Amino acid sequence: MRSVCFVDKIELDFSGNILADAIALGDIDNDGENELVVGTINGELSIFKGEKLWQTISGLGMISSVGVGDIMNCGSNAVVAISGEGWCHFYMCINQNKPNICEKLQLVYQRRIPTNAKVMVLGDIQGDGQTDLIVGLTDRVVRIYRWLQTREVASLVCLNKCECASQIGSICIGKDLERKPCVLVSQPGATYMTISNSQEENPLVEYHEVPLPKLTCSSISSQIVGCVGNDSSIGVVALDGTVSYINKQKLLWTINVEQQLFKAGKVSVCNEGGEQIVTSAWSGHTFIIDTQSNIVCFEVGQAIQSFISGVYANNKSTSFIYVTYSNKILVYFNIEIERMVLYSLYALQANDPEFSSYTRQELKEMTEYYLYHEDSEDKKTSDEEETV
Amino acid sequence: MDCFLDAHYFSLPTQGNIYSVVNLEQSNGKNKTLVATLKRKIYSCEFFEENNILLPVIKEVPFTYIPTGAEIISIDAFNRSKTRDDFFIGITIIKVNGDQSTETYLNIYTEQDVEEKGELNLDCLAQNCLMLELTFIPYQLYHTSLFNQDKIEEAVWLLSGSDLKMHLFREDPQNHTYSEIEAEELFPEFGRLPSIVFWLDIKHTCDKERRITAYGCECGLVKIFMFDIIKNILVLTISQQFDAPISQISLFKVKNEPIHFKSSMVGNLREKSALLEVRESHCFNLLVVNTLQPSVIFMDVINQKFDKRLILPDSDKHDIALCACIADVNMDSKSEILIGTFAKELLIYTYTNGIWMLRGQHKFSHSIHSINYIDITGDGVKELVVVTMLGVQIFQHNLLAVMDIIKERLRRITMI
Repeated sequence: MRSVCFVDKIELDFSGNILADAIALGDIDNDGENELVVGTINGELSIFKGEKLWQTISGLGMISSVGVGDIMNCGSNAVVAISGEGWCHFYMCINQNKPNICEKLQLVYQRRIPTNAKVMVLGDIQGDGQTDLIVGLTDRVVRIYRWLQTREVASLVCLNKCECASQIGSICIGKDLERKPCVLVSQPGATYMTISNSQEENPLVEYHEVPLPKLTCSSISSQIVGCVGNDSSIGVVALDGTVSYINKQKLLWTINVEQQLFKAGKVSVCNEGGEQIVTSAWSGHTFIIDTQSNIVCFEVGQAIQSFISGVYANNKSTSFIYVTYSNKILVYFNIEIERMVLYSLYALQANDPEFSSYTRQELKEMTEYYLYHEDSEDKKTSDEEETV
Repeated sequence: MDCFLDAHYFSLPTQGNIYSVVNLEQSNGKNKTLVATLKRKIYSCEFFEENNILLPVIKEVPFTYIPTGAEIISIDAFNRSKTRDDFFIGITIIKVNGDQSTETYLNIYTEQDVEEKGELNLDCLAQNCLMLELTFIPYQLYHTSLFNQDKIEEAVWLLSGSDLKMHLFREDPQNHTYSEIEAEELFPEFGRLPSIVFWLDIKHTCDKERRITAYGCECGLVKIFMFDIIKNILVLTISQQFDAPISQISLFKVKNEPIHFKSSMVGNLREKSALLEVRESHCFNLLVVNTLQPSVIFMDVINQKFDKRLILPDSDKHDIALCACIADVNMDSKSEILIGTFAKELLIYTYTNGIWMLRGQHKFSHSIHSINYIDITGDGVKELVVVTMLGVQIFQHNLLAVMDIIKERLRRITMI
């Protein structure tokens, strides 16, 4: 398997243990640059801006998931932290123009939701431009919430509740066959569920099984990534290292990278364009997989608690962010790959009418001669230089 | 570095040093790089092609007779045959015992019963070892050709030692063994060394009548010799003292040397360049990589001695300069100098208008231990193989740009 090495990185000091989903990237202070939010199991929420720790908030319970988005639909992003105990906190940066107040993020809303929340997604699920909160619980339940604000009340209301067949791995927002937004919920054994028509009280829940050629254990938890490459394509990543790519409910390919994959996302880091699935293992191995199943691997070299990819701080290109067990968060920035696949010069020459008639030996000699041993005009000048 | 793309990276479990990489140039034109690590593991790196896609293949080679607890110091290899693969691989190891005493060995691996046109079988070669016990701590392991008066070539090992001697190991063909013989008899250059030789470089003139030897020492002394093989005397001895240890030295020519091809594809073009060969056969430049001060180049060091001294600007700004590579990475038929430093920086210098200028640099994840510019993919275009403390990084040229260069040069030739 091809591997690459990313060099540009910054290290952020961070102590504590986090759950895999308690990490998020988002523009918290609405300045156009993304900040990093990390929540620990001891209830500490840390916000990093650039190379500095910006703020810490404590006492939030066992934070199981964090998210950044315009959940209150007011044009300003909020930080949403939910805990296993069932607390849901909204923080917003409302004092940024008042220099005397040192507390940058302020609690704007809190309420109790059912306990055992595990994963959360903020996004537009109804296609009306409003942000909803989708919460997945370890009780196999997915709830969709929406912020409701009238003159009298301002609160988070639960629109509906769906039950899954078994444990939820991850949730994300994808598109259904009619290109309408739907919720994708990964299920054990590389299967998944879709929840569509979510604005109604009884949404349509469908269970999809991926026909894998090799029978994987049906209890292996998996992660799901929606809309990879095109709207109707889905990537499903299982803990046993199986990565499957599904288009319109048809399996296109499946590969196994033999690492315990626990987080998955979507990036566009290849200079050839297109989108790739990025998935990370507990060992720190990260795999970038394009829609043709070409793999490029990157090793952090140490075990990780969580991983997220996205644009961080003032970098233009993608960053890979790892929370390690050694009291550090590693931010690799300028993640770029020229090509997903390596070719030799023969591959180019075979497609060129000028060269296609020669044998490989001839081509090789010609290449060597013209690149490194050519007796060109500037020979004279170099000779002169040498003897000056 | 803009012309390069990341091709492959693999990490090493333990670090190596500046002596732990060797390239095997096989008779079929393919290259394999062997990378040794401190804790006994040696990896081979090569590329295979499958459905027009290049696949990197990294394998651990199980070399025998490297005892548990031993550490690899240096590795070197040569191919004894010109027509087939008959490789000799030398590995020096050190073993520290419980009572703090050390044992050091030179292991020489060869393939038994090499068939005609047989291809290199590393696994088989790694099993066949000749172990020589050493009485000193080994440093750089080097090989060179020894020509007798009739210009018959014989490859010998040269091993720099902590006992301030250069040790010569020569094959004893009757007993199928190697033995150490007094180096000074054959190499008068190595009499009375002032300190440990860190790096040695030997070149022969095209007519095989003279041998040019250069070495750099721990104390900062650089010595250059020219030895007349026919008359068996030293015709030139010059030396220069530096203030810091010399990590590498290299004898090189700025202009690329002509090559010989098997097929007649470019035969008529080649004849012209063959004429250039003999002229200025002694015109060698010497690169001296200095650990604390800027590295320097002595242009035409044999004829002009140390008179024409050129400095590589800022080559001391990135901590110790550890290694260097002379390579034509921009394909202009003139060599560039690449310097690898401890501060993870690779520096590229080009020679223009009589001076060496810093033209590019690239940051790595760890400090750089060695740089090689070889055709590891086997398509005629060379790749840059950089070995850092904990990984091997391979860069490939941007092939579209390479195609453009070939086409443009092809057009120019056909126009003439």
